[in-house]
Amino acid sequence: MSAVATQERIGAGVCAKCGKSITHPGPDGECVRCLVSFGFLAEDLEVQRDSGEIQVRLGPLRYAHFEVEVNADGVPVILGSGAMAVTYRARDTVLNSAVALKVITRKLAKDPVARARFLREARAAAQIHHPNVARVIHYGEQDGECFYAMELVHGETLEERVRRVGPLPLSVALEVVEQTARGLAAGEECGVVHRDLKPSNVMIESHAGDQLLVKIIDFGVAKVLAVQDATYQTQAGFIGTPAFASPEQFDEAGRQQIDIRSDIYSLGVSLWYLLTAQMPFAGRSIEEIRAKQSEQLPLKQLKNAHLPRECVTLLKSMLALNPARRPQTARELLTKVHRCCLLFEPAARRRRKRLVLVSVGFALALALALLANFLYQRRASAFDLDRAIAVLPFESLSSNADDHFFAIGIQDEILTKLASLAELKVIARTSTESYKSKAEDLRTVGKLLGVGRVLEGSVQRAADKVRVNVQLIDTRTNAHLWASSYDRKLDDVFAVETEVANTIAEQLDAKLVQRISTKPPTTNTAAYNAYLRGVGIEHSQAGGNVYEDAAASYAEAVRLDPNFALAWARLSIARSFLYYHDVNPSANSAAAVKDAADRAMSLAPELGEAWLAQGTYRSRVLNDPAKAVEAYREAQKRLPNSALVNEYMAYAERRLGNWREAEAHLTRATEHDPRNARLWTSAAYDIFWPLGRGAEAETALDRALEISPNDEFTMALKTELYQQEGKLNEAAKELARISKDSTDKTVLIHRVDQALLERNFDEALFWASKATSSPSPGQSLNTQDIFALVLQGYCQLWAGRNEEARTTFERVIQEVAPGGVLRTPPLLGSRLYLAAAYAGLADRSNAHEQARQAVAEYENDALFKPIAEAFRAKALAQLGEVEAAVDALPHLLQVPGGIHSGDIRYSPFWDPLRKDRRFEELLNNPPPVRY
Amino acid sequence: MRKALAAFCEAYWPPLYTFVRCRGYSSGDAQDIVQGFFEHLFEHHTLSRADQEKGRLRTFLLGSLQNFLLKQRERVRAIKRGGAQQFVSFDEVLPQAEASMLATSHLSDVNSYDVAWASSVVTHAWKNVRDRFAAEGKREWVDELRPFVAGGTTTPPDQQEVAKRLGTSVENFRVWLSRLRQTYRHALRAEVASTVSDPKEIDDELHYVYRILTA
Repeated sequence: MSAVATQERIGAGVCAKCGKSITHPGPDGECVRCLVSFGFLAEDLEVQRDSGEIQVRLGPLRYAHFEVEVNADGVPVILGSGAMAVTYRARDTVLNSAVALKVITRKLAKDPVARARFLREARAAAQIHHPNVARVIHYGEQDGECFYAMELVHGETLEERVRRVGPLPLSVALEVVEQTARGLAAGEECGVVHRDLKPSNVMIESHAGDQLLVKIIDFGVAKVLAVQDATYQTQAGFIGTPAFASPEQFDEAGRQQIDIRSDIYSLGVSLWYLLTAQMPFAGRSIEEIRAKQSEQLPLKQLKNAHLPRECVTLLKSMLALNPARRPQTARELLTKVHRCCLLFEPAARRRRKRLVLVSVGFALALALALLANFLYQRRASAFDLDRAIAVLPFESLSSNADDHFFAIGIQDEILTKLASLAELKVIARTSTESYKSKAEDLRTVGKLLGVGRVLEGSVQRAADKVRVNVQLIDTRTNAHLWASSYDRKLDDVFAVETEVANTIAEQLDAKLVQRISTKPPTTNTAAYNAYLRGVGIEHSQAGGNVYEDAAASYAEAVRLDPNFALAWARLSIARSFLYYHDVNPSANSAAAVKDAADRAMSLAPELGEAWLAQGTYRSRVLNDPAKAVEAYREAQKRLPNSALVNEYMAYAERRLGNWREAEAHLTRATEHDPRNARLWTSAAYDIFWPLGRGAEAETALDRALEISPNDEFTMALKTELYQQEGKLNEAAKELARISKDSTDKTVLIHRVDQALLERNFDEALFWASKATSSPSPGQSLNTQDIFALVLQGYCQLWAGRNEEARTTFERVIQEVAPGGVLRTPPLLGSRLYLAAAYAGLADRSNAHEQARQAVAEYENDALFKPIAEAFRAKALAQLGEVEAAVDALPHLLQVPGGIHSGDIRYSPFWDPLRKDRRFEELLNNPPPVRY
Repeated sequence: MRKALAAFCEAYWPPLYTFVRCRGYSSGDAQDIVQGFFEHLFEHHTLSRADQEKGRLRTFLLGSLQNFLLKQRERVRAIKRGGAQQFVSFDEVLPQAEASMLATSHLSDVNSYDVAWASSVVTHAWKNVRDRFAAEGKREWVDELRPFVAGGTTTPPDQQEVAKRLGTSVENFRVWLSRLRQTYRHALRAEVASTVSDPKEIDDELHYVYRILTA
């Protein structure tokens, strides 16, 4: 090549990118100046320099220790992108967890003022720790870009939801707003205002059983992005998205301070959008929107939403042009939203309560993990972890609800089959249902449940085909031990379940070869599908109709195949529950329960579930715990891993007064179902506490509260525990943790009790009136309502309001035994209430008679007899029969489930006995509980 | 070994040639001298010895070359006469080196050498990345991305247009841009790392490369 040619090449080289002449062209005429600028860096990256050849791999995008995830084609996973930033799904390589990584465009990042502001906001946002706010966990700058990592939210934005499904139902919209307000309140406490609150900045996670969890994203940082985005910016530096912005955000002179009230306005617009899928003030420019904001609200948009008046009022107050006329704080807004929910949407209120429990659960997860770790360490030695397995909920890969139940049904069948092997420890479904397949770190799951193996799976159903994917994982190493995929006809579902269960059994213990029967419970595919649906409903559906819906499915199954024993057994168990709770008595009659149980038994006497059905029939319908225990024993032989059988046995044994057996069964139940809060509450209240083992009862209640934090019922039980032990201060503290607004009957009754024990009769009357006020007019009172009335009567009596007391007691008698005849069916404890009411009226003979009959009625019931005897003693004391009352006390203090020392020390019921010498002695030296 | 050697020579031939040219030697002489210098380096295993104590390869090579020129005048002539065995095929890099020399004719010989050195490092890193993309079947991508990152005489097209050509979205195109940047950054750093003995010097050397090229 000649020098001339070279010269020409140089002369032609002006870089189109940097505008300078290309003095040192690269192999393809690249501009080295541009190249070095493009790659220049000051970050410290690890470099391999051991070999002569330089290793360069085409690696994933990395920002600090966050690695952007790529899909199968190697394309990074983008969660969202806007003009100023792109959000990736990334992995925190240190903690090995998924995060959302937002990378801010270079255009913005190169402005040092914007960068400083960004950092400041990210810092502030990182202070907010709240379940309704996606947490900022890292901020960094690299290679001229800045980025931050945020908690990854599995769900969609409100905007996406509305686009997908249209306007949301009022209950859902209110719930979303309530949770968002909670998140804003958390931000407010940290001094952070969102300033760009809108449906695309609020995400919604759906959890099992229709539960929603709302997460506000981009708290604080959103506004830095918005201020830079020219489309949102006026000369004065307007921050936010115009359609959702508050009027003060448009104030060009910046005279008005932007505070939480601005976010409340934006949330108001968002609520409007959720209910109508429209914006109240749409416009193509800021000016247009601004002009419209001063007009009246376009209320006709709300017409289709059929909003109650209260809700419209709420919207109006949130959307007030003058910030001073809006709710002034997030808390105030919360109260208003709350009231709205309470006023006309009790269902929403109930759902919210569950949600809060879930939310708080997240906050406690760490503490729980620590505790679990401790338990695991302790438990690991006791169990062979390799033979302990949890079958996690199977994922349904199709979207319809029926398939969802179907997937759960299959999971449950595999679980049940494994549970039939006594050599294994199989965790019950209640304890695994919160872990969705693939959603959790399996090591943690393994530790929490005390298992070394976890089975995950997915089910896909299409036409008459079904595909089941399963994988067995070692929880200590996360290693896949075995995985398989089954593509079968729907008719072969049972065979697949058996095959999976048998393979897994063999994987867990080589001796367990083909132990699970391959004989199908029915040859009728449609019947089996109906049965699976019933099982799925029982396990996953929320709401009051679970057993009714499940029973309907089982009934359908036995209609299709009258020889389907398993379905008959399940039908009987579901119906026994409905019978016990007096639901649709014509369908769920005693005869119907018996018929189903007997058919199951005659068809398959070797079936564990058939025996379980016999047990529940005898216990719930025949009220015969002794006979029930016999049936449960047979069931247990065939279902060695069943927590449910153990739980039922514990209740039956307790009623028989076999406390030690009851305790053993309940302990076994908790081992197989460690995350079932109900079992722990039961262990505390039904076993430890009646036996006078206060410390153990307290621990068990704490365990239940770890699983269901802030559960009001459990907290009320804990209060009672303290009250009965005479620890009034602790009781008061526990009560104070429960919301003052709680309308839970148990809570209200314990508030009355507390005031009575503290001798504050006015306060006792206040709570008693609340406890007795709520039943809807026209509805008959239940047993708890009557108990509250009795308590109210005594409060009135002790407060000196004798006339009111008389009216209350007469009402009790009228409710329980209208016209002198007991209500049918009789309320639990009817005669006890009558005895107490007559004693309050000083009607000696009637009080004596009812008390005597009550005790006689429960003669063979270890659970209710001491309660009846305690009622009688209290009635005697009130009637002034000191001698007889004191006579009863030593026994009552010793019998399990009788009365406790704190009660006789503080309760006004015993006041007439306080001058008695023997009473004083008992007070000072109470005998221990004997069993 | 031979391959590594060839890569080494290819990378450092241009700056050495530039330096010799700046000293007033003709193109032909300069080619011979650099060849002789390489031969000398490998004969005496200077490089392997130097590896432990070389400090910066850039200054080490320049010092050695200066020594070589100073002490081996006679030998240089001999090389010239006898025609040394050609270690490296420099036909390809020659025009580039010549151009580099001419472009930096206003600089001192040492500065010229440094500029040529820096551009060699940068170009080499870029080639590395390009080859890597090509090896993963992304040759087309790197070609389309090049105008956005590496400049050149052609005007960078519209991102939208390029994305369309590649059958992807603009977002995804931008992601690839970021990926390319990170890979390249890594490569550049690795390239520089291979020329210093103390990792602490990497950043300094990188800054030097940047400064001298953008000056």
